[in-house]
Order: sequence, then structure tokens, then C-alpha cells
Amino acid sequence: MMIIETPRSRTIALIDFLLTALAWLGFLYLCASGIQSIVDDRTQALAVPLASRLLPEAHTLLAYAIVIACIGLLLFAWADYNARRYGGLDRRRPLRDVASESLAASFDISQTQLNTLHASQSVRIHHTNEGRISLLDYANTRQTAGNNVFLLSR
Amino acid sequence: MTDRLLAFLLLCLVLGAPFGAALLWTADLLLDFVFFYPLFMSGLWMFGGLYYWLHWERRWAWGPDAPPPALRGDPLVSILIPCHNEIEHGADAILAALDQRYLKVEVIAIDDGSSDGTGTMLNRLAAVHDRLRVIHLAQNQGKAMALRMGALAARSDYLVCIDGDAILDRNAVAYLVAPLLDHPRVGAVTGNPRIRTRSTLIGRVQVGEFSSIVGLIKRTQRVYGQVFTVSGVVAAFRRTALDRVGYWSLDMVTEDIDISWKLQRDHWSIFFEPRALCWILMPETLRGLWKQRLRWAQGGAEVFLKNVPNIWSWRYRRLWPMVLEYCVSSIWAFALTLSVCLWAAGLFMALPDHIHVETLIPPAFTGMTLALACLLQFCLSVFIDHRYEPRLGRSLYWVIWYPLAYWMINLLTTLWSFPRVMLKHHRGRARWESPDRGIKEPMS
Repeated sequence: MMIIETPRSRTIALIDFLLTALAWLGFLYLCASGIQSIVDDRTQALAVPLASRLLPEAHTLLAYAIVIACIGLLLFAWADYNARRYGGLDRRRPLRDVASESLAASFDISQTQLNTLHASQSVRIHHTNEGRISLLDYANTRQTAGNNVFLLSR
Repeated sequence: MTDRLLAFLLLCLVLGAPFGAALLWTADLLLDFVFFYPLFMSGLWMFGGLYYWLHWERRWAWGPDAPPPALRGDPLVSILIPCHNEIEHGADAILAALDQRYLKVEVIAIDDGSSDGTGTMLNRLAAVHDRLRVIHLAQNQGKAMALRMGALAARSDYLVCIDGDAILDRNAVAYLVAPLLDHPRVGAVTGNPRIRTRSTLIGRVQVGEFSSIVGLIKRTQRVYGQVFTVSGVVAAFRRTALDRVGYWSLDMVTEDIDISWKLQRDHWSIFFEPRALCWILMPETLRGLWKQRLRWAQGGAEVFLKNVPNIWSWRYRRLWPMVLEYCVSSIWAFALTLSVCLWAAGLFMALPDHIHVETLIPPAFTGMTLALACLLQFCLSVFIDHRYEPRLGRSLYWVIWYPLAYWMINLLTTLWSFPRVMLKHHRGRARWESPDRGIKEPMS
């Protein structure tokens, strides 16, 4: 149900499928020509054993693998260092939740306005061009106070 | 003035670095960088993903029988859903949020000046669901302002923020909020977005991309300890942390990248919780994808420019590699472009030997290595991610496009947006644009 697969024309679906098949063929071609260039290296004499012909490329591959492994090891070492050095430590003391006065001050509204806002189920907020709150409008909107629901009209 | 000068210098650096390298050394060096950077980054992401899985993820219970974490103290959680013209998908998002297994939630829908009747739809829902509260913004103010108003109205200190077209998994809130309760220094937790729209090639490619790129990058960054960005579509925040950093900035195109940097500069940790699933809609047309990625690239450049002048204090040293990675990946885009230009110029005129580019097609051996690395990366991500989406392997067929989708779009959007951001005079308020949310069935 979560996945959306909108029906499309068979032609377009077929084109997608064929294009992707083509891309896979390109990929296989890259792999095949890579292997071919190693095995069928024309600069090498046929008398040279295959293992010797593969050796330079194997060295290059090994070099790639070593560099990637080094990057990976560096990351592992860094993660382990952090776990050992700081694991279980909480360098920051738990901070209290934002006090309502502080919250109201952050948005430049009064404590009363904040309390009303928190009690309301619906509100219309107007802003100035600079982004400051200019009006909290509860007209014709529903408000909750505890479990009570009532209409507030100004 | 200093900012403008700095932006210009950064542009010169990113543009000039590849050119300087080619002139000083050879174009071969440029091509080596173009090839090796994606290869080694792919290796890094694979190791990062593997470490995350081995060290933490494989030990975490998951499945229909695994209970979600119990939230210590049963706190109220506020789910903020900014909506702009969400008449089509908004109700589904809100009902899924109200349907959380963790019951102590309030849902705050913020109608950001919609013109399609979203406001009326929200009022209708609020009349039926007492736990739904609605904020109407008189005029369209942008997502950052909508989130700010939600944070102000929230009765809880724990805020789960999702997009107006995203469907939360029933246990997502519990998974997102548990780390905030257990770790006082965690300021935000980013969830695991899963793509719903899979009708076109563009949609299907992104399924693979989100697993093999986004998923592995998030895990790797978490292993490193800093996260480039939370997912704007699903993340939880501690309001105390937001209050300390001044909440979401109104002038940033991508408020999610910006808030991530602000929090980490204030030494808050950001966790990644792959079990907090959220089903999202993504573009299914090339035009939609381009617009979305352009916005992401522009947002990344804006955050980079905003942070570069002040990030070099020793206190922020852990963010330095993130700056470096962003910088190198931008240089990569320009290096590849320069290689193409040198190759094209070489077709029409004689270039000095050391900057002559013979061919753009990588030698078969190196091309094969890069292609195999991409495939290996995707296989690893399917292995790690299939527990959250058992049929993920089915998208393997389409994933052959993902190197193109990721690296090429990354390249083009960087080329387009980086100079624009660096040369921009003034950032205005960031406002909504209705994104592409998948294709529609043709009307009969």
C-alpha cells in the first residue's frame, strides 16, 4: 500500500526496461573489455604465462584495494578511539526544557499570548514583512482548555 | 563586503584548483582525480555502512515482533507537519501521525498560506481529532517559519518534524525520541526516509540511490561523529537545543542542512535512526528531480558559505572534514567539467601535451573497477537495508543508472548553483514551491 506504482502505458514501461537492459549491456561490456584487455594484451608475447600478464593489473587492483582499506581502517580507528575516549561519558549536563518565559521571549510574544497559544487548538498567525509575529488571531477558532473544547469568538 | 569578497575567493579557489592542477602538472592528474575521488568515496561509504551495521545495527531488534523502545517518563511528543498546498496528501500524513503506537502525541499541522483548500481540510480533521492542532499562517512564510511557529505552539520539548506528504511508520516516533531521552547531548535524530513513488525510471533509480548513497553516507557520517544534514522530511529535535541556536533560519533554501550545522556548532550530537521509517514522495520526472536537486545543491553551497568564515576555531575541528569533503566534491565537479572542455578543445586545436586529454572514456580496466565498486556498494546497501524493506532487492535491476543519477546530477547542479550562490548579493526569505510528487494516472 505504501508503494505507489502508477499504471503507465506499456510502451513507456517497455522503453524504460529496454534502456535499462542497454545500460546493463554497457556495464557488462565495460567488465568484459576490462578482462579482455588484461587477458588479451597484445603487447605481451603469447609465450608469457597468463599469470605474468595479469600481474601488473593485479598490482594496480591491489593498490586500489590497499588505499580503500587504509581509508576504512582510518575510519574504524577513529570510531574506536571515540568510543574508548568518550564512550559512556556525557560531557554535557542535561539541560532543562525551555522555560515558557524564555520561549515567549525567543519569539517576542508575551507570556499570556504563549499560554493562550498553548491552550488553543486552532490559531491564525500574522507576521510582519520582517518575520515577526504581529497578530495571534483566535476568532472563530476552536480552543481546548484541559479536556474542554469551546469556541472563542472575539 | 568581506563576505562578498570571501565568496568570490572561494569561487576562484574551487574553479581555479582544477585548472591550476592541470597547468602545473598534467591533465592526467585531473583525470586521475576524477576517477579516484568517486572510487575512494565509495570505499569510505561501504566501510562506514559496514562498521555501523556490525557495531550497532545488527544487534538492534527489528520486525513485527520487536517492540518499539519504551520512552522513559512517557513524555508528550509534538509532531510538527508544515503543509503548503497539501490537499492531496496532507490528510494521509496527519492520520498516520495520529496513528502512532506511542499514544502520548499531539500533532500540530501548520498551514503555510495554502491556496488549495488545505486550511479547510485541516480544520475539518481537527474537528474530529482532539490531538490535532492547527496553525494557519496568514501568508506563505516558508518551511522554516512554519516549523518555528510549530515549535512555539508545541506543548512538548520533543519535536518530531515531518513533511506534509510523508507517512510515518507506526513506531517511528518512539524510535526518534528515545535517543533524545537517553542521551542529553543529542540535539536531533534523523530518520530513515523510504521512497513510495516507483512508477518511472527516475522514481525507481532513487530507491537505489536512497539506500546505497543516502543510507550509507548517513551511517558513515554517524560513525565519524558528525552529520552533514538531517533529513528535512523526517527528524526529531530537542527544543532546548533549537532554542539555543535560534531555531531554523528563514533565509536558507535548505533549512535542514542549516539547522544541522547550527546544532553541531553548538556541540549537539545528531543521531541517525534507521528504524524510524518514513514513507516519502519523490519526483518522478527529470524536471522535478532537477529542481529538487538544484535546491539541495544551492542549500549546500549556502550553508558552506555561511559557515566557512567561522568554522576554523579549534572548537569546531570535528566539522572540518565535512567542510573539506564538500569542498573536494565541488572541485571534483569542476575538474570533470574542465577535463571535458580540454578534450573538446583538443578536437579543434593543438593543446600543449601536458594539458591534452586524449579520451574521456576511462581505460577499460579503470572503468570496470569503478562500475564494480558501484555495484558492490549497492549490494551492501541491499544487505543492510533489506530488513526495513524486504523487497528492496527488486530494485537491483534499475540501479545500474544510479552512478549516472547521483554523480552526474551532483555534477550539473553543483556547476549551476555553486557560482550562483557565491555571486549572489543577498539571500532573501526562502519560500515554498510545490514539488513534483510523482506522476498521476492519466484521466480516462
